[in-house]
Amino acid sequence: MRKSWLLSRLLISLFLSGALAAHAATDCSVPPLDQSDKSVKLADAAKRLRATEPCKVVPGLSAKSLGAVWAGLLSTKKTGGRRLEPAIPDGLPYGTVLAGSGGVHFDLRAVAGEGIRSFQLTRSGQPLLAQATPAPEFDVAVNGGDSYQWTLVTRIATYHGEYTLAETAERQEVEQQLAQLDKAGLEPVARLLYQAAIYDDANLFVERDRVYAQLRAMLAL
Amino acid sequence: MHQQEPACVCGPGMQRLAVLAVVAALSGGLAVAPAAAAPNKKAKASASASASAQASASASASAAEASAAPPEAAAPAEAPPAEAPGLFDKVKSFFASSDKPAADTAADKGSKGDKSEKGEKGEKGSSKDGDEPSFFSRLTGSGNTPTKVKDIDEVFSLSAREFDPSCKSLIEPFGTTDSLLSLGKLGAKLAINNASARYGFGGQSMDLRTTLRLAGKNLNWLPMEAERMLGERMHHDMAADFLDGERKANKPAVSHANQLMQSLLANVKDELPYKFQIDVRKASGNAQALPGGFLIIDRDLVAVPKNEDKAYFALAHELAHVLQRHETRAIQARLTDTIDSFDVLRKLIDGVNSTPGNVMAYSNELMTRFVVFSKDQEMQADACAVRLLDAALHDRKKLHQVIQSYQASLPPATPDLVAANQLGMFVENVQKMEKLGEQHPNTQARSANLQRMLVEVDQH
Repeated sequence: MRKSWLLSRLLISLFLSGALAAHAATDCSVPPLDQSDKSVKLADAAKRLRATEPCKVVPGLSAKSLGAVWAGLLSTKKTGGRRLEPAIPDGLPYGTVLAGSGGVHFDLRAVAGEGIRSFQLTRSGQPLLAQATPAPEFDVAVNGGDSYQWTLVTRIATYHGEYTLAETAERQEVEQQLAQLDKAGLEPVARLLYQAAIYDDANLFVERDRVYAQLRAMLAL
Repeated sequence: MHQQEPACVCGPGMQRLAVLAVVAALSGGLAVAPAAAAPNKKAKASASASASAQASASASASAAEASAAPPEAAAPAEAPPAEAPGLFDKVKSFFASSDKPAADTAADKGSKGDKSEKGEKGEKGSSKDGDEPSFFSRLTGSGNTPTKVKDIDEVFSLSAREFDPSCKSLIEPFGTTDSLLSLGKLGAKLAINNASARYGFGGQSMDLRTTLRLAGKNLNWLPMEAERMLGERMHHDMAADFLDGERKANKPAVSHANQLMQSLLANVKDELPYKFQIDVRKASGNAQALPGGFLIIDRDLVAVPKNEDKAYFALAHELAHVLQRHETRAIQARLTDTIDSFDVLRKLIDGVNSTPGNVMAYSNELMTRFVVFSKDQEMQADACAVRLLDAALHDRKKLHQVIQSYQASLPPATPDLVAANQLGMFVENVQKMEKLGEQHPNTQARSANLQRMLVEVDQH
């Protein structure tokens, strides 16, 4: 009786350790990558990414995030359906952002063809910046964790968005992961894919989208 | 430049219309229910947050739809003959009396109160309070599927026109059976109207071709299966941007989105024609509806507590887009209105008055029509959102809070600019057509519409 009990315990332990090992292996291997685009550059990027081990390159980064950013990179971003409000154009900040040394970056080139009528930025409701003819790209200095609202009026639509700065703890975690990534010495495309995954995991979608733009240019997507 | 709808007096046309009505009614009785309309009833909570149901057997409120017709100024172009006074006046009472609940009919006899109020009572009272349903609403599909017949009291010569800006009816009829029955009902009305015109009792006679064309513009005839498939494709294309609901960190946001959607769906009195599904997108401040019942809400709206009110409004607004079938109506409008327009354009180009200026003016008129239609649909979705929230919240104070919170989140008011010349207008219109789904009314118009709807539901 005792012998069979011990045997069953042993079997359960073996099964559990095997399952855990399998799980760890899954999280440390790059998930399947969509290869419907047959370009050589993309195939090469996929091959190089597959050769990496996410859990070793950036400890704590979910391997699933790499799969998600790969899919996001290839996504056609087709519009369709109905929105509550006009979609925020590429290059404009929203949600949580990491401010660079110069501040938060605004890139209005995506809507330049629509004929910009005005740009306005407020911080917690107080006017901060108002321009009739803003520069195509500019940085806005930031102070603390307030929320900022911007409104961009073109002849075609009125766009508006809101952003806040990442809190210190969030910022430090991301910076640590980026430092880990630098140590791994990956080739540029794989490195950028990891960088996008770090931002995606931290819900820093503006930064992620900026990396996507670089990747799309490099891979001719 | 106005396009004239033919209106002729023709006896055989009348007979054909009567036959059409009967055939349509019979086919409605025998037709197979729409496959996409799953047999489940009402919203049901599930991991995929789906809610499905079948069409409702509600007799639509004729008086309500008549009163809901927008003012003439809203029509950008043509002068629809159907809007001539007295077109349906002679027959309206006949159908209205059979459709409206007994209590409502009694109220009619007693006093001539607010038309829209009466209409709403009629709509809500249908088959729910034990009132006798109309002949059309009793018709069922093969699987005892209740049908939703649209009562068309005003027919417009444009499809790109919103004729229920106050959202008296939350759900557009769907499915072939519904369209056929609605067509049959319209045909019968026109047959009686033609008889009335023929024997000198007033009204304008219309032939079969005109009737069918008008019906094509006024009914949503794109099959629901096509609508669902279209939505599935769009959903698939966007999937990379959705939060992975399996991840622990994302579960609260995904679960909250589901809860908000379910609370709205659970309070829709009519049965739901769609299997709804919601996803949370890695973005900020917006929400989206795809045809066929796919809702999408941005992460910060459901992950940040201070955005709760906006999230509620956003979902109600998107739900309204789906229930009103706005995407397919817009597609259909482009098809039906442009077919007419091509004909006019050909005449314009071939005609003696064909000048580049005339052609450009016509092109501008055509494009402006679709832009205005898109904005009208947004206004209607806002109106429906107020009704959906009114039903879901059961609390006027909270309803006002949600609406005011949304109004406060709108961008600062800016006036609409009119282009200096035809050429400038043409360029702007082309750009707007490329971003048709992004065309929204300005803040002041949207805010005023929401305020108007709040007053309307408060009075109810």
